[in-house]
Amino acid sequence: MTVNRREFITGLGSLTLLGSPIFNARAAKLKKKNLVVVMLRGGMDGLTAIQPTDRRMEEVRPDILVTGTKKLTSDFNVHPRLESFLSCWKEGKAAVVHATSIPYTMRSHFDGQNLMESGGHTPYADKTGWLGRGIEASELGSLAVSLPMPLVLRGNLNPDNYYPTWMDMPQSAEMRLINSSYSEGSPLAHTMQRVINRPVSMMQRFDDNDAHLLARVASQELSREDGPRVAVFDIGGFDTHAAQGGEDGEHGERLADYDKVLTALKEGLGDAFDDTLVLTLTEFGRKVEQNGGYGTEHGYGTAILMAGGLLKEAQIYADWPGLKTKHLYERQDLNATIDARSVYCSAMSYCFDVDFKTMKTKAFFGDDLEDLSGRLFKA
Amino acid sequence: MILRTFQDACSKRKPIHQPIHQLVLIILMVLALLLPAHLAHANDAFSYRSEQFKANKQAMRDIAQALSYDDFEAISDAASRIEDWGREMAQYFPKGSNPPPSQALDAIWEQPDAFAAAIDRHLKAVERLQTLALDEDSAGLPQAMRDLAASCQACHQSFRY
Repeated sequence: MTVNRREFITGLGSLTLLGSPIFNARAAKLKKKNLVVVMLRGGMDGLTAIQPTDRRMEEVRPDILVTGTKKLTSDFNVHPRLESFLSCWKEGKAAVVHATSIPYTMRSHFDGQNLMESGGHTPYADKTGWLGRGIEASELGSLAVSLPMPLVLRGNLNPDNYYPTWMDMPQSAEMRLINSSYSEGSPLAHTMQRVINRPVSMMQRFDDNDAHLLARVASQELSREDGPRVAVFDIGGFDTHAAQGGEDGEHGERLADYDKVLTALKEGLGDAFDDTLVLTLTEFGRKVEQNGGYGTEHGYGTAILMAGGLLKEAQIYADWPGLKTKHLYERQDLNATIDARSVYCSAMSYCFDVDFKTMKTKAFFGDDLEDLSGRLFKA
Repeated sequence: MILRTFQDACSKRKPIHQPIHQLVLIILMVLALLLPAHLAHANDAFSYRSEQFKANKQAMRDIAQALSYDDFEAISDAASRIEDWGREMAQYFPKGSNPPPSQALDAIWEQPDAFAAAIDRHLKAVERLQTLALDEDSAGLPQAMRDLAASCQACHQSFRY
């Protein structure tokens, strides 16, 4: 499939997104709903981000318990560094799915991150990602601003991708000269022609590499009616075995990174924030009890932070398993009572206007997932 | 008056055994000279291995990415980097090189055989991955990658908090 339009964008490290999309017929008919996925690598601690008001937390985390949390409900508080998230919550534009995870319990980052992107059952067994397959199911074209293409966005029909560079791009005449050296019809000539045909804005250099700066640019693109509708961001550093800290520790800093992205998206999107859904994705949570290094080990259950005007209401959606030892997974981790893939599948079904069953079949191998659209998103 | 009292008190003391006193002094001086060197060495070792482990993490990500493309050359290249570090890793864990922010456990030096065996398992796993990459065995590579990731994790569980 030759794709000459941008339907999704992805932010990873030092990249940005520029260019002018051309929509296909299906996209033109649909009300544009943006889906933004923020990958939090390293194992985001759901108990730190959205802290249950359970006295057990004081017992098991005496040195890293977050103080200064803000109340969300009678049962849960939010980390003080998630200011923008709290602001969205107050407007009814933030929600949490708690005690959730992808169905992976072996606590390896590499395996876990592979599965969180592929949406599969066995690490490294799948060569495509759930978002890529979901976009294919929606029959919307795509282009990723990333090199290499992140696994989560890879589909069976490889979409186009590019990566902005800090170097000055060659002039058109130079490009044509290079192209003339390839034999006509060859894959290289085809690729070169595709590059030459790109809008001028995609050929500009870009030096910034902060995720929130990138989010600002992304939001401008997403807010356009004819702009892309999917964005992926990647924030690392959640693997806090040591010095996790409470309010100002390492984990709090990383949550603040996420919050900056959310702030930039909200401000940049303006009214389009009401037609947007921002979801987090992580490979696993962290153990309930702190370790000897004032950090936490790899765990299982975690939380999905959701923001945007497409949410039904401000809510903590959970089948809370409790924090008593007997309720923990392997007597040490927050249990996951909701398959996180149900949330992602529901989000794609809702945002791409594809029925849940089809989305489940195409993006998640027909696994037994629950349609949560009605509970989480606006009718 | 105060001085005289002090001198009187000194004169009542038992005579100091001069040779032992000198020996203690010499030992202290040698320690004073060696300790900063030891600490510097430990600190250097920690800094170096931290960088190497970061690079290792990136190499693992590179392999994971390359697996989805069946890019055997990239897999082999990243596996080589992991193997190179695996072979020299042990020498960058001098005893006592784990003051914070190091997350290394004392078990590394308390159970040297177990630590060496863990590194050996890691090396065997990465060699296996490399062999399969060279053979362009796309069917066998996912399991080899899982085994390699497990070898990293096993070491973290036993020797790192």
